Amino acid sequence: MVMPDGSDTSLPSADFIAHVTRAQRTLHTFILSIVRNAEDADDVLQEANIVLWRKAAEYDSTREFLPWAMRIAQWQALALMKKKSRTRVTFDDDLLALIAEEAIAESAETDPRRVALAGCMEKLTDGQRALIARRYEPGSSVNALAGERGISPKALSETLRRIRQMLLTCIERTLAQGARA
Amino acid sequence: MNERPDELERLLNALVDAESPEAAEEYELQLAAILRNDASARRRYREFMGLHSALMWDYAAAATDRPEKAVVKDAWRSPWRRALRWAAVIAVAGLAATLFFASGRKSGHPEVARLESVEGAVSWSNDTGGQRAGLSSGVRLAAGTLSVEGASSSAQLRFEDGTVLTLTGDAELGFSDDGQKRLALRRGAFTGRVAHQPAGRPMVIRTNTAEIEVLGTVFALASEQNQTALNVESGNVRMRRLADGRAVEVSANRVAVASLEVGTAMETRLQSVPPGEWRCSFNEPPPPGSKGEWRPPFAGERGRMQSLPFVAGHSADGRLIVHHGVTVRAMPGLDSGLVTLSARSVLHVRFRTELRTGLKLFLSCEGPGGTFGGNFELAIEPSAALPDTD
Repeated sequence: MVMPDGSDTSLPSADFIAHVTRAQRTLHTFILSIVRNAEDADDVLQEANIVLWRKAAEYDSTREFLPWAMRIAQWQALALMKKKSRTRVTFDDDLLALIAEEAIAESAETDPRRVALAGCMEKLTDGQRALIARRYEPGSSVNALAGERGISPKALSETLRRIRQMLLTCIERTLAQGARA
Repeated sequence: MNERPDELERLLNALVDAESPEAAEEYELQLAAILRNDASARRRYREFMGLHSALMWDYAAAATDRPEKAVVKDAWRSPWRRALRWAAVIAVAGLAATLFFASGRKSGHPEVARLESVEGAVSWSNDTGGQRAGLSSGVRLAAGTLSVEGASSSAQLRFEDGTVLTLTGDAELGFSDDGQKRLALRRGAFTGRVAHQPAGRPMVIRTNTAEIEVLGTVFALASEQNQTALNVESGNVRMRRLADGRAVEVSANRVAVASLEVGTAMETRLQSVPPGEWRCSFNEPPPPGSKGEWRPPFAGERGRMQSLPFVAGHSADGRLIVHHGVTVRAMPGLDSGLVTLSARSVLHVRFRTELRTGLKLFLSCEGPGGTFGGNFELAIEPSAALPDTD
């Protein structure tokens, strides 16, 4: 049923819902690269999901879903950036458009990286895994975490940097090995 | 490993760990200058943000899901942001470790713990005939056995040192504290947020199949007749298999199971993340641990689960309150969750009633570490007009 505002309230197909569900993490990564802030990324993802739902009838199932959904997420992210209109523009429109275009072009790379990450997490020590878990708890901050552990924020940040770098290196190595196999 | 980061790596890490929005803005400005004219830098930026996003989604412990904050009634305004899992609490009658538990008692009945919060039917008893039913929040309890009845019931027990135990669903836990806490999980599951225990006096938990020593940590424990599953969220826990005495140290974000097997090594493994989608049509048998009478597909009719009566609690005069219900849940322990939920998850439930009656949809969640994540309830009045009735 089409509402006065043009939205369609009929239930999207099961395929469409499956597409949206599967795309959540990739969309979150994409949005985060545009808005750079975790809370904003969550908000934009929620808005993007609502828009995707409303536009379900417009989706052409002969085309790839992810680029279409990412484009919608891009609009939502840019709308939020404009709404927040900070006094200083750090990432200008051209840069954001460039980041978005390149991310959409390479969207197929996201899932293999995530699969590789799971194996790389296993290679961390228990302490490193525990630190990552605490750092990524909702509401966590480096300052608070450093205080809990009795070390300086700078020292903690350096430890986190090293762990992230280990993971990124491990992901690259895993993907390279997969490509050679 | 890259010991000395280049400028891009330094900025990326500084941005996501920035101590203030102002600091983040400064890092963004410097970052933008690099990204504008360097495609390889933009690729590294995307890859770094991909890692940052994945760690948020998959590997964050649920800090907002602390047991102390649990028993939230309004699921649909939950502040939880990401991975919450369906809980996997199951009631399986077990062999009680009564002798072990009784050995820790002193004479007399000093109060050792306080009920922090209560939902549903919760009662206490001890081995000298003491009994208290219909308990409410704030009640102080001596050593004894805490019983929680009904899938939607829960109780939080707080000890003097700040240790908090949360029992959910049908569960029975014996407890004492004479300077050393001793617990006996006779059935069901509980999560523990254990304060640092005195040297040489760890909290000791006995189930049918395992003995667990805890010095101070966050964990979830589920006991069935034939196995005990332990999920550790933080700290270290020692688990010993009673069948052969073999033991293992279980560290943060890892799980271990003690069964009746003997001779095999005790092992731990990383907690798994349940899938993002899950569907149960009942055309196939429901997951083990579900409750209800399964009716397979027949003569063109789809499979379904028929509700069965269960004890939902006791009235003030002690009479049983019986409801009818269907429960779909996974076995506790390894891979206990059915599905990973996010704030944007959609739950579809199809049901049919023979009579117009009040209904409750009940959702039990746990954090990524298996710890209690809250119970959520949606009540549907008999007069409610359901929007998609067919």
